[in-house]
Formats: sequence, C-alpha cells, structure tokens
Amino acid sequence: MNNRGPLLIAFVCGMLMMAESFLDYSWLNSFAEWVQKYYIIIAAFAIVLGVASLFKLHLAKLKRKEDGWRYSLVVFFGFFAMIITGFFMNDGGLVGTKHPWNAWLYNNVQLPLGATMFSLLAFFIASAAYRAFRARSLEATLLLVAACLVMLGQVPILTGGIFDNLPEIKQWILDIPNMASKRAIMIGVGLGMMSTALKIIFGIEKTYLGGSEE
Amino acid sequence: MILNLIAPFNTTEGLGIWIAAFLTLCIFSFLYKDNPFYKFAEHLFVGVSSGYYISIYYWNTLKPNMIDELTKGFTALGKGDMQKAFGLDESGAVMAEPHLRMLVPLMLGIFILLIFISRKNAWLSRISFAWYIGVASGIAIPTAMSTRVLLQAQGSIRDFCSYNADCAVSAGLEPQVATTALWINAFLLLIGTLSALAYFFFSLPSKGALKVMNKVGIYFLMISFGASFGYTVMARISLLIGRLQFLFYDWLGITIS
Amino acid sequence: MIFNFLNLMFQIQVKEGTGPVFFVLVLFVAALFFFLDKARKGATFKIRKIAGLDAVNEAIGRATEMGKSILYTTGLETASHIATIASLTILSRVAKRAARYGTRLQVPSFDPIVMSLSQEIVRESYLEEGMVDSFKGDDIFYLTQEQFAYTAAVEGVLVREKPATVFLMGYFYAESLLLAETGNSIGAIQIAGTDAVTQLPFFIVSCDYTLIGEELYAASAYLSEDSNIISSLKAQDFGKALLWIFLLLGSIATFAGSTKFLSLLGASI
Repeated sequence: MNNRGPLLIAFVCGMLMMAESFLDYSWLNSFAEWVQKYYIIIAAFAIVLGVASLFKLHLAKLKRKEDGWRYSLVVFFGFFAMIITGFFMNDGGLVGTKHPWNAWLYNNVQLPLGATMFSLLAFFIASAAYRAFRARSLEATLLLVAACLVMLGQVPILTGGIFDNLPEIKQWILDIPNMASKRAIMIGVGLGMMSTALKIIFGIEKTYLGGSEE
Repeated sequence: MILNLIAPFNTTEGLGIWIAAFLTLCIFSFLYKDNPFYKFAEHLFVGVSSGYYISIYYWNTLKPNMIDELTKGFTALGKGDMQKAFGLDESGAVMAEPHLRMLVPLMLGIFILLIFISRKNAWLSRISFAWYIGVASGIAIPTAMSTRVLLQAQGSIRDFCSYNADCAVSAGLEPQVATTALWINAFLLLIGTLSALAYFFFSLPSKGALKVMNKVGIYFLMISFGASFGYTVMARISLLIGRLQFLFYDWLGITIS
Repeated sequence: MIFNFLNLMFQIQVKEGTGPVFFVLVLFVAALFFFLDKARKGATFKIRKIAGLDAVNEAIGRATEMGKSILYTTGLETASHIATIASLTILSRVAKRAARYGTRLQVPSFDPIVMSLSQEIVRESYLEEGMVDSFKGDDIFYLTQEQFAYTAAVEGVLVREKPATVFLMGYFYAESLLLAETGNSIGAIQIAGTDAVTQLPFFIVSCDYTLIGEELYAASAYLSEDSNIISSLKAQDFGKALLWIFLLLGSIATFAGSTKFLSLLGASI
C-alpha cells in the first residue's frame, strides 16, 4: 500500500492541532478535546496488541521448551492473577482500590518489586562513579570536581575553613554553569523537536510508517 | 537494638510482608549475578504489571469513554434521536458526551488490531498510526517552541532586566539590588548558554572562534553533568534506605535505638 | 491584519500571547522549506562529525564479527513523544545496516504502538536490503508498560543474550542508569541518545558514546545520507544562529535598560 493516504492524514491532523494552539474557534477546540479522548482509547486498544505479543513470545517458549520456559509459566501466573482480581472481580470502579485481593497483589508484589528495582540505583550509581571519576582529561576532571562539590555541598560532612562555604558553592554550580548548559540543551532540543515534527507533518520523514514509499 | 516480633506469616498482612521481602531479596540477588530467583521475580513482575495495565485500560479508559458512550449512542439511535445519538443537542451544538462519535476511535483501534488478526489487511493500521503521530507532532510544535525555546530565551535575558531598576519596573518584574557578583554571574550565565548552544551547530565547521566557543561549551556541559550526577546521589541512597528499612523493620522487626 | 480578517470573517479569535510563538514558527518553517528547496536543486550540506553516529557502523560491525546480537531500545515513552519518533527513524537506519550484515537485531518495546511501528520499520528495512527472509518478527517484542518491570526484563535480556552492541535511544527516566550500567557490565559497546536532560549525566558516565539532546534529533538526518532530510539540520542551525544573536543582543540591550527584547518574547509564554 502506498503511504499517500496516511501522509495526508498526518498532515491534516498535525496542521489542525497546531492551529488549535493559536486559534480560539469552537469546532477546532472541540476537535482538540475529542482528540485527547481518542488518544487514550487508541492506547487502550494497542495494549491488547502488546499483551498478544507477550503471550505469543512466551507460548512459543513453552511450546519449544526453550531455555527458561518455566519462567514463562510465572509470567502467565502473574498475569492471570492480576486479570482475575482486577478485571473480573472489579465492580466497575478504579482498579487497585476496589477488590481487596487486587490491592493485596498490587501492594505486596508490584509495589515492592518496583521499589526494589529503583533502589538498585544506589549500587549502580556507586559503580558508575567509581569507573567514571578518573580525571583522564580536563572534561572528566570538571565532571568529577563538580559532582564532588555538589555532593559535599548537599551533605556537609566536612566543616571548618573553606568547607563551610560548600553549600554556597554547590548552589552557585547549580544556578550558573548548570543552568546555562540546561538552557542551551533545552533550546537545542526544542529546535530538534520542531524540526522532526515538521518533517513528519509535511511528509519529508516517512520512515515511521514503514511500507513501500512513493 | 531491639528485636520486635518478626512479621507473622499466618495473617494476610504478615504473609504479604513475607512475600514482599522475598521478592525484594530476589531483586537484590541480581547485584551478585543473574540467577533463578531474579528470573522468577522479573517474570512475575512482567506478568503482574501487564495484567494490571489491562485492567486499568479497560475499567478506567475503554469502558467509561467508549463502551458506555457507544451504548448511550445506540440507545438514542434506537429511540430515533439521531442528533443525540451523535452527541449533538437540540440546536445542533456539539455536546461534551460524544456518544456515537466514538465509532471513529473504535475504527482506528480495530485497524491497529488488524496487525495481529489479519496480515493481509494490516496496511489499514497505517491510517491509525499516521493519525496518532500526526496529532502528536501538531501538539509538540507550539509546546516545544514556547517552553523549550522562547521560555529559555526569556529566562536568559530576564536576569539583566531584574538588576536594572528602570527595566524591571517597565517589564513588570521585581527589581533586585545588583552587586558586582550578581552581574558577573549574569554574564557567566550568558557566556555559558551561548557557548553551550554553539556546541550544537552541526553544519558549521569547528574552526577559529567557533572552536574556542565549542571548547568552553563542552566545559560548561561537563560541569552541568557532574552537578546533576552529584545532586541525585543522595536521592538514590535514600531509596535504598527505604528498602532496607522495610526489610529490617517491617519484616524482621529490628529497630535501632 | 490577518488575525482581524480571521476574526471578522470566521469568528475566529487568536489566543492571547501566541504571537511570538507563531512568528518564530513561521520563520522556522520558511527556513526548512528554503533549505529543502536548495537540497532538491542539488545543493549538498556538510555536517560536522558526531562521534556517536560515526560509531554506529563500527558498533554494528563489532556485533557481526563477534556473532552476537544488537539490542535497541526506543526508551520509555509512547509513540506520541517526539524523542520516540526520532528513535524510530534511527532504528530504520540501524536495521538496514543490521540486515546488510546479517546481524540479529532485538528491540524490546515499552509501548505496544511503538512495538508495532518498530516491527513495520524493521521489516521494511530488511525488505529494502533484500533480506526479508532473515527478518524475525519475534525479535521485536512488547514487555510491559511498567517502568521498572520493563527495566528488569531488559536487564534480563542483556545478561542472558549478551548483545555486543546496545543502543539506548529515546526518552528515559531513572532506569537509564540501570540499563546503561548493566550493558556496561556485559562488555557491550553502548551508544545512547536522549533529550531527557536529567538522565544525560548517567549515559555520559556509563556509555561509550552519548548523543546529547538535539544530537538525537540530528541523528536520523545524519545517518540517512539523504540531502533532503539533512537540509533540516541546516534549518535547525539557522534557527539556532538567529536565537544566538538575539540572546547576545538582547542581553546587552537589556543590560543597558531596554525592555524591547523582553517584550518581543511576549509576556504570557
């Protein structure tokens, strides 16, 4: 299938949404409002596709008895436990708060797993720092010095003399060089985002559609 | 150190704590190396979270926004009220409730599912994707321009105005007393922004003045990355403290006094 | 004048404070089409070297020599995020090279729409290289939309499959360091790119190459070797140059007491 139709749709939708940002017109504003609603519905349909893909992957593993196939059973167990308690036992309200079994699963399985994964960052940040903070070049030295000053400025374990000024030095680093860089990066990102989005709207960039190109 | 009662596993709450503690240790075991306990926890996490999101999307999104609306729309159609069926009031004005107008996202959603259902008709999904990405692009452009470009530019210039009493009053800003240090900071901020911005010129060769600016820009960028790195260390450590508190206090009942 | 006309004829009001945004947008679009027109008339644009992008071929070659796979992740945002779209366009370039060298490409996805788009893009890339029979749809799969469940699963893929090359392109959150450090621990060559300003430091310290902010958006043009697409980089640079001059002159003028530049930027941004 050629991509002319979809490219035209992308153009029209993109232009309408851009126009809505600038113009106050009833049907345009209504269109934008519907679009926000449509968006989450498309995402809801897409999750069916995602779960189908997940099932396909793990069913194939089970069928072929691939390495680690038993863990695919764990995936299905977790999935159906949540589906039964959160989907079928739900009486139509917000998920996670209605049926006590679903809340129990969420609080004692999903939350602790997420929180523990998050806490692994403490170990990984230490290993990253150990490897990276070697002053091999001026740039690496600047990175190392800035990180140390900010860390020490946040938790002033050293006191006396110049160390009493560490919190002010930390704040200065955050307010001046850090702010300057962040502004420059944000400006560049803004221009890059605009360029990419305009290329999509005007059909200059078509790869996201796949398929044969005209 | 006080050893309180270890969490009981003959109550729902206690059993939950034991399971949460077991899963916590399974994830921590990854720090040593990949092992069956981590694999178990990882696969359970994937399964549980996928099931959770299906439930969320159905009860919080699909049912109230589409299924209920379509039901109301078809009911109105059955009663012969065409305008109400399509979410229009008596005067023909658009109502907040879309009713049968939700047939459009239903159709777009079905097009996406065709990827899995019918390879032959999967090309229809491109209509949905083009719509989805076209809308996203249209929304992103003015937002990117105003928040990421103009707002940052405004911030860069505003400091110079705040320190000048007449300018501040004219611009409606609160005048600030400018000391030499503040002026130096303002100029350093400008130099940093301009030199870091110069680093991102792709089509200009890095020669002469631009080369010097690029170098200065990289130095500012490295200081910024170091500062961001250092700033998050404490937050990350506190996350670990939180999990350790759960293990020692909630699970094992150990408190330190 | 145009806005008055719109108001009179169609009862359309212009939203307050959008003037500066509209003006700059029109200027940018004009620049985009100006350089695109030049490209179509045969002009070529020289782009400075971006280390991370020059390393893409080398990284894919490394995976091929070692007989290992490439892992590509498009980040933890949906397809409505521009960084994800940029990542998908880079994926098409990477997939073409992977198809050419016969290297396995795995793409674990956070979002199901991104997964579908990735599958279409990679399939198309393999088709263009005449290697559609080598395309494995199962290598592009959805995991979950839970941040740390996805991270745990990708870490599992990294330590078990041990890809030689890892691409981390898109928008990331706190899990960026987890993914980058795990990739580092298996000895993979890692090329990361994100516009998430808060995560850049972690990629800088853990990855071999990092595309900083705008470089992620420049990457697809850089790798495309298509002058029509590269012309957009020229437009970006034009916008940047104008802004650079505006900031310099504006700061100096404001320092001298003028409010003109601030008022040009508008009050309600």
